[in-house]
Amino acid sequence: MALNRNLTELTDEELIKEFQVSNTLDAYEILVKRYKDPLMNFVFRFVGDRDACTDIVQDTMIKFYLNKDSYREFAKFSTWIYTIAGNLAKNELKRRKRRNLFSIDNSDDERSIQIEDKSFLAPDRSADSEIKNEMIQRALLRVKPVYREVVILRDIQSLSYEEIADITKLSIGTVKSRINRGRTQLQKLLKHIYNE
Amino acid sequence: MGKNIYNDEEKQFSNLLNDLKELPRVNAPDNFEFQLMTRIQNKNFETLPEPRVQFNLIKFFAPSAVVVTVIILLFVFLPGNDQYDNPLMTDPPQILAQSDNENVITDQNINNDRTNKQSSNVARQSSSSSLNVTVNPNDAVVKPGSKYPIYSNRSVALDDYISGENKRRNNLQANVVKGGEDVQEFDGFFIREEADKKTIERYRALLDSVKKAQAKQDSLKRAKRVE
Repeated sequence: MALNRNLTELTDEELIKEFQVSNTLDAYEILVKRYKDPLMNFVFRFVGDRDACTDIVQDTMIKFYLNKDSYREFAKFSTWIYTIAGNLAKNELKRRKRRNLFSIDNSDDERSIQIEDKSFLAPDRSADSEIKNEMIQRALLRVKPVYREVVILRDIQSLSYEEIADITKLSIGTVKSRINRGRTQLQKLLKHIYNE
Repeated sequence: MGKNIYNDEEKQFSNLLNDLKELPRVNAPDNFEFQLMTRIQNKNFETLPEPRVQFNLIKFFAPSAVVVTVIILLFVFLPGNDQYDNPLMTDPPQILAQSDNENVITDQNINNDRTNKQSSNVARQSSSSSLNVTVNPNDAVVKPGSKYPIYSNRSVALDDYISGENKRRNNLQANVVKGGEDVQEFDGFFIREEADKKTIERYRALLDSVKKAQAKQDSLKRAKRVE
């Protein structure tokens, strides 16, 4: 039935079913096309490194390719693929943390998450949206990962609470409280911008 | 821009949420799919490699110092489980060995006494004393002397004795103080005092007066007899 229709018209769940049943590589490619950018955005905001982010999303797609049969029909494909990407991103953060723990002189990562104090910037510069976006991204990376993940999923990726709960395997109440705490932390870190 | 649809909880973060929404989207590189499909076709499914930490003296010594410090602290602050005997509070091994021998001898004596119930006291004494006697090759009978003349029945725990809790109820305290094997009972110390010259003269005067009185009495008796 699905073969008769154009693959691009199929939903995510129909495409993965097609990929699972018939091993249709085109279905896989379409899903990759649909999710590569949202996943890149999510992982970049979470990890803060474009190169590492590309590798993580590549690995996510490889895992999807290799473990396509572990997907169950009752779950949404988007939550499944976000869960894989989220886990890989967390692993990357752990790896970096371990690396920083053992390296005394490696302060590149540490420097990258420093937030510029707006008081040191000229007024015309602080008004620049690029600077503001950079400050927000750096502040985001200073928020605890458990809060950061849900804030990104909710406020940047615009996913629903139910989807976030499925991705993080948490209850909706926990998701909401974590989002609230994450936002509070973020706002505190960006008080130079929002207290004006 | 779209409508602001935040609920009451989100109103306090409205500026922040607007900025988050307006963050520029990060897209995958153009060759993303090409690289991915190449990896799949080449079956290159290796995930991100664990970066190897290069050996560094500081990196090596910092954790080592921590481990050594922890071990030292453990030795210093943790109380040891092994209990050791204070040599000042325990009996010397010679005394313990001797008291064991005494117990054995006493048991043997008791057994001998039971078997020889009908024999005389002399015989009993000889049988019991034979245990403590050794015969040399030159037929000389030697009573074995104790190298350490300390006996449990003649010893006393000094602390108990001072506190009045003499559990052994040893009545021969004097011997305990004196020590030794064949010592007589000792009931105390004689305190020697230096004699005073005046006292001596006084006693001499008393003796002289007594002698004079005695002589006078004798001479009177003799006179009466003559009459």
